[in-house]
Amino acid sequence: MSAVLAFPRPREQAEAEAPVVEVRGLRRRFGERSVLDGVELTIGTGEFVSIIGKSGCGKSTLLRLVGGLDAASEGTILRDPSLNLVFQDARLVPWRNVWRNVTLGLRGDKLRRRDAARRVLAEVGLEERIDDWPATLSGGEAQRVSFARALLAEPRLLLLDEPFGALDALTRIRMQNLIARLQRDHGFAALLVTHDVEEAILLSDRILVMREGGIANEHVVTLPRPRHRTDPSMLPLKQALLADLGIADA
Amino acid sequence: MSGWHDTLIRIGVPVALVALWQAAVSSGVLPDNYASSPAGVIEALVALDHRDLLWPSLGASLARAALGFVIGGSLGVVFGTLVGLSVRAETVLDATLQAFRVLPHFALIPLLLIWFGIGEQPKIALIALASFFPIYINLYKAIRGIDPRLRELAAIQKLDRWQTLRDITLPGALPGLLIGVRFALAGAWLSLIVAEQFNAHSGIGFVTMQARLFSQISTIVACLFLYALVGILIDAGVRLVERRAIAWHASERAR
Repeated sequence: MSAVLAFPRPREQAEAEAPVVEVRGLRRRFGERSVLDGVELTIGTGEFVSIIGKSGCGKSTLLRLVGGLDAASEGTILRDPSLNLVFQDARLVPWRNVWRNVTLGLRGDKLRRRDAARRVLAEVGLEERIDDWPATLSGGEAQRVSFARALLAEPRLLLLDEPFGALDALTRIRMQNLIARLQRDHGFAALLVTHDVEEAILLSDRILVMREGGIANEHVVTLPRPRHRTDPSMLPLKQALLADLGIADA
Repeated sequence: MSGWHDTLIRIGVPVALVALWQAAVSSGVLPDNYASSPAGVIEALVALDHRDLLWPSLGASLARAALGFVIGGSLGVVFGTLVGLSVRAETVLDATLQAFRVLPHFALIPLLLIWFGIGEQPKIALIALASFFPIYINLYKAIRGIDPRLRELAAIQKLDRWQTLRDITLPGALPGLLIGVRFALAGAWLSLIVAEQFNAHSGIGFVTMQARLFSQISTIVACLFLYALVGILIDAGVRLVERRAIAWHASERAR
């Protein structure tokens, strides 16, 4: 028995306190194979949570379930209905130019929609590409457009499915800085699926380690922000996370 | 580097062939009661009564082809969209339609003649049949072939049914539809030529029939030339529409 519920519209004060995700007893089976086996997860307002784990541990399945792209076999998921999701591929619609991609699904007057697109594109530094076709963008630019699209409606929750996984190392660093800045400015809560330990430490308030369909460990990251990837005080956490992932590092 | 050289060869080969053809007829190698000469064809084109025969005939042929194409093509769009969008419609319709497709539509000519007589209807029906299947198949496959990841995106962006159709499904299927249109137009034109061979009172086929009665080979060849010319123009027209309608597609390929 599974139930997927949207939060009822709470009063303003309550809204600030309400969690944006609440997952209880979540199971997902594909045939005989159990991919998620009783996951519990709560994400508070404005909280940045990362999930790391080896491939096949169920982290992407969990994200897709929270995003409503897949149905639970068992358990309940409460999610903020304003959520948006950034995929690993930028997933731009090839036959819509940049601003129409950003405003996909937005209703209203064309000029106003274009202005809205311009505003978020400026935030990701792509204002001048507003009329271009997706095919003319580089991988990093395309992913920035997809971030702009996800942020357009000011979601209270952003789901990030290895959004930097397909980018080269330097672009990835720039994108990580960008998402840290966007989160600081907009204050959305985030659930990031990644296999990059450093990325998780740089961005998160809390890191969950998944193993065999369940959450095996949890680390609260107390390092002050802004964080720098060269900061040596990250090392102990990095080692702990690598140990959780079964990688013995000297 | 060899750009102009290649262009010269490309133009040179057909020009040489035409010259050879002219020489063969002029020298008597090809008897002129079996084959016309290029000069003869041009002469015949000029000699045809333009105002009362050539233009009206061309108009009649084009109108016939256009009507058949519009009827068959619209049905193709309706059924292609329906079967593409709905699995239930696919279950009900596709197998039956595919079975009809296997049948060469020219084989239906005797039946069409019995059902519709020898007037305009069997010709229009034949052209419509030829236009239907390319559009139906290509549109249906194009709608089914749309990247399922874009459907996930539509869900995340909370697109409603109409927005999904407008922003994802239809534009995504447009290149496939236009390929169908090109095949359908080629099929329509071919069917027109066949249809005009059996009893026509107007059109280029009628001019050909008249010419055959009087053994005017030059006029027959001139009509062949017209059929080919119109075919090429139609194809060029669709390519132009394609380039304009799917600018994104060109940039995708150029990548």
